[in-house]
Amino acid sequence: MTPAQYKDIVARAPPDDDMDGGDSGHSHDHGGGMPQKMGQGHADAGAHDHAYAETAPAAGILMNMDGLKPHAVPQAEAVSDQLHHALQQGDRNAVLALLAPDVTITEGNVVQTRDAYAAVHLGEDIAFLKHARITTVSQGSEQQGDTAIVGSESEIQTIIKGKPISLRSREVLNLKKTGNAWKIVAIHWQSTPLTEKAS
Amino acid sequence: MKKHIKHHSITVAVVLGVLAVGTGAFVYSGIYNIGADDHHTKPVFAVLQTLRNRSIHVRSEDLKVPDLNDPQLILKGAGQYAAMCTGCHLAPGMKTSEIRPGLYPQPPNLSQTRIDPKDAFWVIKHGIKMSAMPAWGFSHDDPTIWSMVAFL
Repeated sequence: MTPAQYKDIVARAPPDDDMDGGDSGHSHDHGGGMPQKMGQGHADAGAHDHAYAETAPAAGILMNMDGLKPHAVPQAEAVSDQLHHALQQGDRNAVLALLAPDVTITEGNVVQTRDAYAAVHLGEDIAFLKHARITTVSQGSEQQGDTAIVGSESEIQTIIKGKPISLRSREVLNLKKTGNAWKIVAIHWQSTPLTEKAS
Repeated sequence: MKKHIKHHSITVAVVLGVLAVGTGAFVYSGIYNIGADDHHTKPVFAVLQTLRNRSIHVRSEDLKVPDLNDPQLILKGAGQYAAMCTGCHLAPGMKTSEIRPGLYPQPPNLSQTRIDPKDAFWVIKHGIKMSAMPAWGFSHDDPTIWSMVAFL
């Protein structure tokens, strides 16, 4: 099987809805319980000592998006939109094209490099989001020199084990401007369930 | 003659006793490095590998294999594999992963290695002691595990 064939079949595969519990040894359970997307305040992009979302109270896991204003950095927000669109469309190349070579992706309790994310979790995210309905609740941004922060909050609705599940997903992107292009240098994801977790 | 047999029995008992004490002393001493970064000697590895392979095969040979050419089964298995297996067993286009270099024994690269379907099912379901292979049978039913085998 070629890499392209593998990516294609994984993108078409149904979500892994057979897991009992949230995380059976894998750092990112894309469909078995809740997608364990993690994140943290954008002011702390270099540190990763956050608490685990699933065990933290909802109020305690909200990422700090203070100071972010809608349409403050339209080009950076456009990159955020492109990322969401590419993930849901299963366009791996488009996703990777938005990421800087030294990007870090904080998802689950693992901080991943670009290569590590591309090798495993990107495919899982694509598979999970393929059947999800995503509604953007809010989005804001802020520019600091040649860097920008884009924060967004969305509701994700999908079906797990035949039960409808709603998640509140928060995302903070750190971007850096290179020439005329904004590249994502850090991604932080965090989700909490809005309904009872499927058992 | 009886005296000769009795003498041999005592000798065997003494030898076995010395071996048992020696083995116990060796185990308790902590001399053997259990760290995954210090590999087994070739003879020890060969013994453990044979034990593992035979244990798996003896327990899997009577399994009834479903139709592994079912496209829907293969498709389901692809998603399962991507979610649970690639970190250790890699995937087409993957050269390594963050966890793989530190695993000992090294898990097979399943994008390049063909595993007997019955053995694969048994290993996925029951796991392997003293390795990083978990028993997925605790959280996955048999049809789901067969889907992974079909994909492989």
